[in-house]
Amino acid sequence: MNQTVTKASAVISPLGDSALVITFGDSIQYDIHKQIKTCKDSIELNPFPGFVECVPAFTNLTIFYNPLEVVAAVGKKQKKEFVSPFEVVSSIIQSKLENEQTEKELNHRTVSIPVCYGGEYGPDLEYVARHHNLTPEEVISIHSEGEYLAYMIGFAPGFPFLGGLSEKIATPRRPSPRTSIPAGSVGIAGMQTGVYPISTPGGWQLIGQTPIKLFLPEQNPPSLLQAGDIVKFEPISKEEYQEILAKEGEK
Amino acid sequence: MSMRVSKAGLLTSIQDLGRRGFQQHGVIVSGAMDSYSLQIANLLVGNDEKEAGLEVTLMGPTLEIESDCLVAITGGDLTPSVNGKPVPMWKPLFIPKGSTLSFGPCKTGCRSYLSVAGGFAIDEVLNSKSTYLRGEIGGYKGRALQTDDVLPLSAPAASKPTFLSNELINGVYTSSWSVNYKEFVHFTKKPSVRVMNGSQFDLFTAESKSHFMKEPFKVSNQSDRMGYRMDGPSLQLQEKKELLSEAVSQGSVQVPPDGNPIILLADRQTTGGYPKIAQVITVDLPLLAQVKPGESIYFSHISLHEAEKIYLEKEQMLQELKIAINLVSTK
Amino acid sequence: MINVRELQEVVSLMNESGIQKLHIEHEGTKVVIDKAGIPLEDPAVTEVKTDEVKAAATEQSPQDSMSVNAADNNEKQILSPMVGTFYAKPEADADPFVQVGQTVERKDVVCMIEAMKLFNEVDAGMEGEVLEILVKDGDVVEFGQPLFTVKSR
Repeated sequence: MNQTVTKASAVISPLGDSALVITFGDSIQYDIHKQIKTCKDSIELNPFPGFVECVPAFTNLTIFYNPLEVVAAVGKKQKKEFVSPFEVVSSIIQSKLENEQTEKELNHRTVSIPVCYGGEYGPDLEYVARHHNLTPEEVISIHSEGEYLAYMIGFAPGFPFLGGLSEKIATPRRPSPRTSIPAGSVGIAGMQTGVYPISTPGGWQLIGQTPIKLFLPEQNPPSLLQAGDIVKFEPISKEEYQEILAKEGEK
Repeated sequence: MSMRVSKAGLLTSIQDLGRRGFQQHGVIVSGAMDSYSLQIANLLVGNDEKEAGLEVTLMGPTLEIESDCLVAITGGDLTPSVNGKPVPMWKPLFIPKGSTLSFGPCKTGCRSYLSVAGGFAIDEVLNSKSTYLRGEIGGYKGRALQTDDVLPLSAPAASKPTFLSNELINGVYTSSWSVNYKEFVHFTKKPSVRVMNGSQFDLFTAESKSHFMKEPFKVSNQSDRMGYRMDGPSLQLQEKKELLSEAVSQGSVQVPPDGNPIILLADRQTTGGYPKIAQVITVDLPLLAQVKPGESIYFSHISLHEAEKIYLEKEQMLQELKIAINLVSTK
Repeated sequence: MINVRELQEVVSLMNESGIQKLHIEHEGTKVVIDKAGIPLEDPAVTEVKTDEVKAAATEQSPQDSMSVNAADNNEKQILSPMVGTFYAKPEADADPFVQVGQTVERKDVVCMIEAMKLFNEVDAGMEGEVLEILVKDGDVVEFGQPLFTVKSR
């Protein structure tokens, strides 16, 4: 199997013929997240020839590259022999990892997301409360007091995978999913909490809704949230919700 | 300078080679399912190979040509015709204003591509003209074409290039040369699709690994631009495992708990949590795009280095084809 | 290499003089110009013939075939206008463009020659009956190599 083991036991393996994965660990841990973020920032700051983009996840960082451009950048004298694009990119990554200073603390942006909880905006709030023998107000309190780290964005444009949900309100998915969940819905599914940026089918327990847009296709970056952000949910009233919604509509 | 849609067809959308650089924000790549056919269609009309064209699926649209234009039609044979008469594929075609371009029965393949010299005058969204159907952005108003849509063309009304014949045959002026496309895409029955081992290949049972590389898999009806759901022997992990979500790529073959593999394609989500048994090599993705629901394929294993060699060879061939077309198009 | 301008002059001289056939060799480049069976005044033919030389030089341009008299009777040969691979059929599982015994018109496509991934259609360039197919599907052919024998009208 084509794999390279590097310092700090990060493992580099191919994902098809035009991408590779750098795996830093096997569970959700802040320290792994830090290594991923540091590596990602370093690569994006100085992209190697042929670099296309990278996607961070919970335990790994995937690098997409153009194999032709990778090989073209290698010295001319080697053109006659076969040069493996994977091996070229692997050694570039290896040097980066060996020279990395991971002692530096990460800078996290804190993003506050206003949420109108319950009622027509959170049809499953009462169910979640009952499930845990809590009042709906207690659920809102626990949810909005938490600080959540966005480990990655995926599943849908702008959709954050947030870690750090309190066990006190972790609730299993609905047995049968809804065919359509409105964009902006804030929900709980097992140990995860998150916000749906666009309308999709889904089985999450919906406890509230945010009036702000998470997917912004006219902007760069097109996502409100990024991997590494700390997310806080801020309870707002129905009136405030309508106000903010109107303002967002004008954008 | 435009083309008007008088009949929409099953699924016709504007696609280029995909929206790259935003996957970390959850924005999918999209793009042509058969990228070689789109690129060749572009070369035939003198466009940059990355220019956006129309991807036509199974049942094609009817287009009213409202200004003289130079086009090319490649990919699967969906029996294109102009004013009711069949026209050749894999060649540049000069179509006079007032003509009607339509498609008929699907004879080979599944998807056909139409390029126009100068491309379509469509704004880019996030650096690409590809249509993200579910996200409703990009391409023509973020959706598939509908009746009465008017597609604006970037170039002014073309004049007939001198390298084309002076004779109007079946409503078009064309060349006496065409592309030998078989090095790039082919339409054989039960094709062999080459794969590398996937990230979680080792987690599968020996029996599953063996079946995967030996038995035929049928493309089910629940297949689309997001992915092909395959029917065949059930593939199982050695032990049940919850995986964390991670990035996937076009060609990732993931296996959900029900054991039926899904080949992720152009409109796949950026991340997934199912184990990946294999990766279809980039060069065979166009081949797969031309297989229809109901048809079967085989998977065959090759190494990373072999996959990379083939990729580099094909890119070289594409560049040579570009030079060859330039030579015969300038007179 | 023969200069295209020089060739154009040669062809117009031929037109004026009534010479039907001319064989030129110049520094390794061979040109055969045969106007048999084609009206003298046809400007398209003149143009085409000149372009055939260009085809020899570039080995890329697809053109009408060249021909040569095989013998004194009406048997003529259709020659390959370029280097490449000979294809008798438009598709692997299709019928061949022409069969022995078939009558062809001047503009009928008799075969394709492939080079650099482009198929070039070769026209009969004459009217008559196909007597013999001299090469096989997949053969590599040279510029000027005889492909078909045709009994010309």
